[in-house]
Amino acid sequence: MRKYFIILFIITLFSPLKLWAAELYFESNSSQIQVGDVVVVNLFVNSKGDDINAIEGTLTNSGNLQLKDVRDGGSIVSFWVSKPLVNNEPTHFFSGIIPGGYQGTEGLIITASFEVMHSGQASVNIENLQVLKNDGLGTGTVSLAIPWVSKVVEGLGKPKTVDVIIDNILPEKFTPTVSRSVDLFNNQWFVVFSTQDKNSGIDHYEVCEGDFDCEQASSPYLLKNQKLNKDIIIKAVDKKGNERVAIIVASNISNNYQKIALFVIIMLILVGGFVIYKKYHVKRL
Amino acid sequence: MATSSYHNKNIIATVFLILLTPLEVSRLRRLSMLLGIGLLTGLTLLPGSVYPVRNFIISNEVYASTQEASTRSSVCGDGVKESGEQCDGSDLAGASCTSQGYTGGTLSCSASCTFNTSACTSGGGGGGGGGGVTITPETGITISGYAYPSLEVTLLKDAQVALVTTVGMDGRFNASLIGLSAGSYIFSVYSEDRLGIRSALFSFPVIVTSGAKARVSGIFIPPTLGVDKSQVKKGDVINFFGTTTPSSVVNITVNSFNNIILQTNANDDGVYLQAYNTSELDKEEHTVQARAVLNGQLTSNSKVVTFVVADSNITQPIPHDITKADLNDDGRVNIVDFSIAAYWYKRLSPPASVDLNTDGKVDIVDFSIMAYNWTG
Repeated sequence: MRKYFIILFIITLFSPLKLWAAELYFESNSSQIQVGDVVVVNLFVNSKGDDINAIEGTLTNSGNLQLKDVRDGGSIVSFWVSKPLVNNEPTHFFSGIIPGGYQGTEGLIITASFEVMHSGQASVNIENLQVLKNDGLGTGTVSLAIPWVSKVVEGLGKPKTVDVIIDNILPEKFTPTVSRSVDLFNNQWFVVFSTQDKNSGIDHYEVCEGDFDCEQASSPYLLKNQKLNKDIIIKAVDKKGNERVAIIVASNISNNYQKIALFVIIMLILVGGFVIYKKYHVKRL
Repeated sequence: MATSSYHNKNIIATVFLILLTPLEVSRLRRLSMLLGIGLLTGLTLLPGSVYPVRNFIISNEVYASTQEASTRSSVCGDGVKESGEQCDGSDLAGASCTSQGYTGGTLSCSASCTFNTSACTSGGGGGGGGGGVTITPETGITISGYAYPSLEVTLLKDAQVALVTTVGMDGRFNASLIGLSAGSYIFSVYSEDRLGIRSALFSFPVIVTSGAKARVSGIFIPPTLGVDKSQVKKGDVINFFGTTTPSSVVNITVNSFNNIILQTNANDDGVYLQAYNTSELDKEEHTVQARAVLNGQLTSNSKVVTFVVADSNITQPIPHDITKADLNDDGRVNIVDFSIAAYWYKRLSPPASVDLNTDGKVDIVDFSIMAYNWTG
């Protein structure tokens, strides 16, 4: 910890202007930890008065910690380019955006839960941090991450586990969109979707297409049924199993084409009728 | 499916009318009747007509269902809580008044399979006082502020369109959004002027609490800003224009070696225009931004507009609010564009349209540019 303060002091000494444009910091529910504890660490951003709209970095943890869970419920990040993966590795890359930008001192980015595996000094940090301004140019800022450090002690009693989150609220309503683009999947139809769950966070999405089995999916999802003649069901499932379901009704698309076809038929009948009438009228004359 | 059968009934009725058309009417009258029926049929059947089709969009190869599936995938009233239902009959899925943010009372299920909290109680009880206060909570947000008169304001909730409201002639607007979950949100608002120029997004984080309506007032949407020339001959006049709230004072900042600040007033329609002689500017690219002031309240900056001072004039087409990050050309920057860009993130040889800063790669900088241009 001391070395960080020394580095900070040196930089402060030689910096004539505002030191950091943005600062990432951690807050934890545990001041003391022991082996077996599950420690919850919240990662926040203080934009230091700047308007920021993109954050990228690598969440790192010391070898005696193991990442068990990452939640983004309540995060200021609306869309993740890359959400931190839960695995046994000590590095977890993340990248996300905040459309419209964020200016504030306490913007939650993620909530991470770590299990304390061994004794020693435990730490969580952010490396390769990039915080970008909301200026239309993607201007980078000189940003700083303040690590979270704690010494693993003994004799604290029964290991702490994560508080059980009571969540019977569905994920937020959402509107999936089917689209296609020459820049993606060779211009084949795909569906995009995203929502949030303010309590436990989104666990996963499922896509169900017509006769195909439902499958866990991420956005964008290349549709198997490129004819788009079957309903598409998208489920957003939070970490407590609550499901928000949205359906894209295929009949709407076919209805529109059907309407055009029927319109043409009716017009043909009318024109045909008129021609017959004209012939009949001419003959009568 | 109800829509389809409704269509068919109309078609049958139309054909029936045609068959019933009397043969002995005059040629002209018959022709008029046929054309009338044809026109009526056309208006009835064509997509996007006044015919009450579902709320559905087909535009530029994008279609989206705005229908919430919860009403379709589950059967409300069968006594079993299913996806999309908060409850069903006596099946409350383990919920109670306390889990809904109350201190007590009895939670029940409404006919629409949503929680009925009218018998829940909160507060009260202190100092030997009896009972609590029964309230009907609406978890949501109310916003109000100033924008462009008689135009629309779009509210984004966590970057997705939540509602669109129309501004009054005096430039004031207010709107409510209910049915939210408790939690923290990033809300953003923007508007678009009559030339199709969009304002910068105005964003504000809000923590919504269960059973309460957060109120955000004093929102002042930044002005739109345009220029009539993308390149101006040194010494010629360039016009800055845009829309803001009526009677606002608009401060326009031209970024140069020494920043130049111009001031003008918006008229009763919120429109402003400021001519500027470029003789004092160097021959190079300049940026310009605008802010509006009304009753001592200041907007944030408008979007940045650039122009070049050189040896000749190049007219800027209007509207020139080029939505840089609109990758699928549907006039919006939203999750579809984000998904296309995300696919190309750190991949080799991305399409030029996705590489927004033309540095040969798609990285976080491109996403930042996209986030800035976001429309939801």
